[in-house]
Amino acid sequence: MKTNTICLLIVTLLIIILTVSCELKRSNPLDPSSHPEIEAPPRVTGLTAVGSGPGVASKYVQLEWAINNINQTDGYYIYMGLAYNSAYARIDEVGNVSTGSTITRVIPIEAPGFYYFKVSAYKTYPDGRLEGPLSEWAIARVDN
Amino acid sequence: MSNSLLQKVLLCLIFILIWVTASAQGSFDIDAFTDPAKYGWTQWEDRINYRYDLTERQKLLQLYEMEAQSISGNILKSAVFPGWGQFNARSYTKGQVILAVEIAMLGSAYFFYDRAMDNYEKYQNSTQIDDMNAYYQDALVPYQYSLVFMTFATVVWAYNIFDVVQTTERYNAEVWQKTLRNYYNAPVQITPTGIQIRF
Repeated sequence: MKTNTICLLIVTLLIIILTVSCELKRSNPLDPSSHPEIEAPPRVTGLTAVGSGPGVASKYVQLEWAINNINQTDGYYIYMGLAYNSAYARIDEVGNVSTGSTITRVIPIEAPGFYYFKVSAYKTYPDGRLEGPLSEWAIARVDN
Repeated sequence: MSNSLLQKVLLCLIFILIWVTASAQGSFDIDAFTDPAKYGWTQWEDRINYRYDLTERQKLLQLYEMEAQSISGNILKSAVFPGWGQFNARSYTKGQVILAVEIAMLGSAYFFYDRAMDNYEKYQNSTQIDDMNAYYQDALVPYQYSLVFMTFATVVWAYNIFDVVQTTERYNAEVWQKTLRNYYNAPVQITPTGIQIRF
């Protein structure tokens, strides 16, 4: 009986190890882990955000970030949130720029306050657009 | 092949067959076959007692067979519905435990699999690299849990099959003992051959 129990435990452990080693297939056609020809765009760096000063009628935030390698990036997405750890909503899209070292974008704002921004780069493939990691957040104060 | 040759071959075969049969009969030892000592019967009474015991057992066997359970039948029941064979063999607690554990394991496996597939679908539809990796990891962990629970469910199912054989054998042994007790203790006995009253 004791031997039977030990055998049962060993067989169970072996089956568990075998089954746990089975992984889900990475079947997303844009997944670089399973498709070597796909390359994720690099993280956007150098993001800064400057809000419009007091007394400005049309309020805005001016964003600026360093341009990515043109071979790795076809465009950029801009995200905005109301806190650094809040959910961010995609608000704009910028096409690729081949000249200069930075990209500048002006975002119109309706109400004064603090706004948080993130930017990501994307690359277009036949199966769709693959978006890279989001940048660090940047904060802008828009005065009344 | 001509007909005459075929007849000769056939005759040879028949002859060989008759010869083998005759020689086999010639070597049969009738004394050894009928020697009662080989059964442990040293006296005439031993043989009488054995015969009486055999007749009694044959009567009991019919009673036993009415209550005994088929092992293959219980295996089939337990294979279809874990614990059913144990229930059938009057091992209610064991049947309940096996059924409960099996349901718990299968339920957990389904719960984690469902969660894994939910995240896997999000992974398949995602286009952002961070989301893609996060959803994949969120799918992988519950998927492995579901596999572990499925393994446990399979092991419990296999144990259930192994156990139902032993449980049925034990039940049948108890039935035989009960049949013996009832037969030898009861003053009035109803057997397949009629009613018997002991004074």
